[in-house]
Amino acid sequence: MIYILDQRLRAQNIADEKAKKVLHDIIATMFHKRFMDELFKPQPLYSKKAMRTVFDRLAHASIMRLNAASMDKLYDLMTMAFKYQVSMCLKPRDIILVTLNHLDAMRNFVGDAAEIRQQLDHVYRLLMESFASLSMGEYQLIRQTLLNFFQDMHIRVSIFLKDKVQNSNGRFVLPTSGSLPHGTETPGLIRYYNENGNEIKTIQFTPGGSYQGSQGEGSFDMKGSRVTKLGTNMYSVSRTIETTGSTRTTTSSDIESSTPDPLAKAQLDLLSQLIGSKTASNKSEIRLNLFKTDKEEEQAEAALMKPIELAESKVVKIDASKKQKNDELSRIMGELAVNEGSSNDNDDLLDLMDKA
Amino acid sequence: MYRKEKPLPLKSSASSLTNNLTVFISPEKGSMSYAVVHKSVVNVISSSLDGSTVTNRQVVCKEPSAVQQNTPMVIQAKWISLPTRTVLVLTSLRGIQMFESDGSAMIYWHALGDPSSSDTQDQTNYGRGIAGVGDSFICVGTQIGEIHVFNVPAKGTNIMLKESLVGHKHPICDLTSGPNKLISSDEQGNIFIWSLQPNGSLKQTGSVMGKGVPCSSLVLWNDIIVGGYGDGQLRVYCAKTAKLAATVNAHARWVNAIDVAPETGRILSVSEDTFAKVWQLKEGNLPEIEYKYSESVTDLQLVGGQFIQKGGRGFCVTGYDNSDITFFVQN
Repeated sequence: MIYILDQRLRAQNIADEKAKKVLHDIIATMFHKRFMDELFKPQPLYSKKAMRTVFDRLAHASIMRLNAASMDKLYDLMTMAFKYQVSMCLKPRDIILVTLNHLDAMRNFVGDAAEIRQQLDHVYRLLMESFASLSMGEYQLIRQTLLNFFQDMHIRVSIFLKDKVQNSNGRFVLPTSGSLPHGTETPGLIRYYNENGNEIKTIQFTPGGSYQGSQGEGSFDMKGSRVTKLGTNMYSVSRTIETTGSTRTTTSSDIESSTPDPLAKAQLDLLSQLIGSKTASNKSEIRLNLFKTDKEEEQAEAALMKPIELAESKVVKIDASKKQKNDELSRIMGELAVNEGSSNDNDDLLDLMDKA
Repeated sequence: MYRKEKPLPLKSSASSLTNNLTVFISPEKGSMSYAVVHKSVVNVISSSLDGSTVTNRQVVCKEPSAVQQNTPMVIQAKWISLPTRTVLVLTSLRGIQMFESDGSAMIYWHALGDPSSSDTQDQTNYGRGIAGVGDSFICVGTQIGEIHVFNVPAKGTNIMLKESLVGHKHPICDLTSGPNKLISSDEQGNIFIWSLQPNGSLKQTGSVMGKGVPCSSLVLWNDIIVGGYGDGQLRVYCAKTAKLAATVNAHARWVNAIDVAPETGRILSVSEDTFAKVWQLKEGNLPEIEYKYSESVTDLQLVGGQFIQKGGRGFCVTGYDNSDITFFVQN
């Protein structure tokens, strides 16, 4: 999220001081000590709706404002980028290296702001305490859980399409070449052993794919080499941000998302308190646009309204069941309600969740 | 050696799990059934042997007396065919469920973990690893390393927890079985061999020490054990002696599932590296394994793979985030 906001702030020629303030405020809220302490407590995975609400709030933790279309786009971009990072990990432990790449970049963004640096150091400590010494199997279960959270999201992202790491159907390209994970031997060899455990012969075969040896194990040190590039800033070279044809597909099978769990609610409450105290006096708001031009943003905003009709006619065609139609409608209305509400600082976060 | 055939579309996509495909061939009903986990539901699809009729069903993993509304993520689904009866077994973050083979009716629920416990470590204890042993036993592994043995009658719902096998100190990854034998593997790569005693209990009779890499999938064929590992290797052991016979640098990523064709000893392995590979086992004093065939399923992290014929002349695979079952048939 921060990478994208940084790129857009620069693209919109927001004054350096102001842009810096925006990023600092958001990072400081995101990594607030109390919020992080809550977040690191063992708990079930957030529902999709709760997750989105958290980021709606975080995106509005500064004087910057996003309209509904831009917020949708921001969320699509950041979730697809993270899905890409988790999908492409060579081995499950890499998910921690991805997070460390994020933290390293945040440290660069905040520069010498001592208070925020302390917050980041605290998060680093929490991360190491909770996750540094897990087994390979535990990392894999976390990665599987994350992948299942992002399952069925296939939004196309222009930077991925240009780099040919995503196909036009929204799926990521999985290369059958490149580096092997650390600890994996190059496919193509069988070793045979006798009863005493001595190797007696080897046979080579052509396995398909052509891989190079590992680039080494990434370091969990505060300032170590992460080896993997996953989780670093894709937008560092001035590259534009776009979701093309942003096909927002919501799956019908998400039973989990219907009921936000109490823990997530408690944390949203906390986050809402933290933000509430910060944004009491907003005088000069910045309006950030995630699209190339204001006109495009307007069109996207208008398109947000349209799906109601479209979805309706589609649903009628496929399935005449009235219930589904209403669900779809209330879903879209619900989404709009969240966005509308999030621009109002006095709104209680829990109210928003109930509306949604 | 194999050619790609028309896929079978599921109602929803396959989740990222190990062993996320199970196949049940019912000659008397003249049908083939496939089950694939999608988050907290299991997609069951059945087709007649000539492929003319296809039926879909979704089995939802719900607790009978659910206090909490949300449904838990399913970890594994597998059909177990005992001599008298076939049941569909589901494991989730909350417990173990057994259904009639067509998924129509739940016949047993066994809660794991204690949601009311104040210690969060005790709250969840998922099940993973499912196998049938002997005439009436179904074994299910758990996160804390125990293997529960259930006695399943030929009819009805009178299923009883018979015993819990203690030995593994780490989460169970997979179970497999042969005549009077149960093989179990865990997240450290340890493999235990259990033998069915005349008194009906299972006793540990051998073990292989792991090296910290999970053994995610296991098969047993004529006293040869093959394991698929998180580092892309297959390892072949002799079940009688628990000695290592061969290691195969098979895949470039995690091996998510392996299967064996019982009539021929062909092995199928599938991995996150997009490849499905076929191997041939050879019996002998020192069991051997040979490479046969390899095919990349473009841009799919494969999560499940099963032969669809006892000789291994066809197989099917599933991939994360994709709702097709892809078929390969021998030329």
